[in-house]
Amino acid sequence: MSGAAAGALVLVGAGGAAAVAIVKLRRRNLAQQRRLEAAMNELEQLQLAFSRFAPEQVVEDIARRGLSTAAGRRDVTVLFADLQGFTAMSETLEPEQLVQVLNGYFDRMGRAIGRHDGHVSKFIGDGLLALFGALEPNPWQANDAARAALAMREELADYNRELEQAGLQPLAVGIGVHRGEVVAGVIGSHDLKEFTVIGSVVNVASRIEGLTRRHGVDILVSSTVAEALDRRFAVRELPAEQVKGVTEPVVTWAIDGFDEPGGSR
Amino acid sequence: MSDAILAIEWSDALVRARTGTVAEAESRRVLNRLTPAVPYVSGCDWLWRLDIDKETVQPASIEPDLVGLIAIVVSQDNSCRHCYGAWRSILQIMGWPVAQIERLEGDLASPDLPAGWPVALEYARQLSRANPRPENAGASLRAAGFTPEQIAEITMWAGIMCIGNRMATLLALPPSTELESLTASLPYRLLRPLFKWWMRRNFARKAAQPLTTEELASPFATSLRGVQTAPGARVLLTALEGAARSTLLPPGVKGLMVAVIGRALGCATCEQAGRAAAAATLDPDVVDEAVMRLGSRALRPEEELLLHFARSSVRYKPIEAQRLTRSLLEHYDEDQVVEAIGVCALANGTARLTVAASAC
Repeated sequence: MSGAAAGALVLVGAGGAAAVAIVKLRRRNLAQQRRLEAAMNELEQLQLAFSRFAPEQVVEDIARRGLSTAAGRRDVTVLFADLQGFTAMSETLEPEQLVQVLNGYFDRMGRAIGRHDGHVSKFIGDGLLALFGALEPNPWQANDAARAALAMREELADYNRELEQAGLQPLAVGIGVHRGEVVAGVIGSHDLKEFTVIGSVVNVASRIEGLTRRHGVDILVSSTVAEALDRRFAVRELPAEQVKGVTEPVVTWAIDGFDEPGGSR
Repeated sequence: MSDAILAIEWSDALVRARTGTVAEAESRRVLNRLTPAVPYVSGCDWLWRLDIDKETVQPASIEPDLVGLIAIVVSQDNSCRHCYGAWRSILQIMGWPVAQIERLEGDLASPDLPAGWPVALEYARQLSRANPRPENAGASLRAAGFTPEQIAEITMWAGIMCIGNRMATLLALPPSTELESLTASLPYRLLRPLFKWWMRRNFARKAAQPLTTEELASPFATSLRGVQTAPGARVLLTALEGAARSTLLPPGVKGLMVAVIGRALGCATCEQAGRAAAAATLDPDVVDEAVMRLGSRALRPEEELLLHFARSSVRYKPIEAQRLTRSLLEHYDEDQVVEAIGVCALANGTARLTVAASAC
């Protein structure tokens, strides 16, 4: 074989080897890209699933910045809602039916709260804690909370009609609302955390909810909340009451409705 | 992330598209094409003028690629199917591989980017999210190497995108399938370098003309002081003045809408400007009540609805925002609804621009 032919053969061989190497490299890159895409899709699905357990914004913050998502002081309106008479019901209903009734109630309350720019922070037995202004600044949070409370009243009335048709006892709810500065953040142990708020405002809101039974009303708000309300809310002042954890007696206001054609929104 | 954006629930366009209008002729004269929004906003003079003029704004002190990335980041944050798709295509045409764009969507700190750009993009995202507005971002931007002019321009582009996103979302503009399908077409794949050259030529950097002393004296220039050197400042000033002059909607109620948006975003400048505009025709006590409590007995129910609409335009899910826009059509004609959308879009953009005054 001549030198030129040998050289050409070497070149062809080298070219062939290079081509094979390039094809292999491309295939490996494509496979890696597919794996990366699959991992990203899985992460996205996880985030979507997780958003059922925590507010979407908190989930996104954690995904982007890690678990130490910014805690801080916020001006927040806190709404406590507690079912009255549910304990008695729990002793007569089968567990599955009890859970079904409770979940139906929570669904409706959650919807009413969500429609008015609030979010349910936690369920505590048959009670719930909702927050307004915790995730985003909200100058109108007091009005939102009051509207949410009225909407919860309407939703419950509707739900009670369903329960009565099913031969079940109607439910009653007490709602307490207060506003003030809290510390908001992701709080808990290494194994279990939640986005929530802490502070005396939370305690006062809970106590105000407790006063609904004493005053015989379903919705009570603090003076701080009442002062910020649209003048068309039909409110009446109730006598000050001493509550645990608060030095001064607490003045509360019952919300009877919203004064506009067609009733509350 | 990109699949989620592209699959976002989106309704049909909220108002009719009109053809043969003065707005269409002007769009073709100025841009040699019809913008996606002009057929839908042609009944509101200042708004179609804004829509056309903002397309003429070009980068000045920052790279066109950074502008494109700001557009993607802000559109993604606003879940704007229309704008996200369009700018994704524009970046592709400019030479960005799809895989790289998608990596950036998931991680702004990607090593693909020049130094400092991740800081600019995070700032743009925070401006869009405004939770809260990034009032103290100046130090990190300067540390990343950006000059005051560049910071003003980054702010301006984020603001312009917020305006465009809201117009597209609240109108439910159809996705820009022409651009999106172009990048998948055979002619594009064959002539990619030519398209890239053309796109970069038309979106090249061009020196901006700052607002003049006379322009800055306008009562509507208060919110633009921090971005007076940025391209687009004059376009927004013209829009603000036009929106105030227009009588499609009552000027007092439009002022209230601006004040509500300013208050929701923590922008005292915009809230005060809106209050002042409202007080020109409404009782000051009514203005105060309406802004502080988002309603007043002195307003008609359909006017209150506009305040709630304004508030809802600050942070929204597209399909819910579009439902609310549809409810306006029960009380207002299409041109009035279009103006309401324009006021919300413009106020949301300018309320974010005031951050630049402290950032630069």
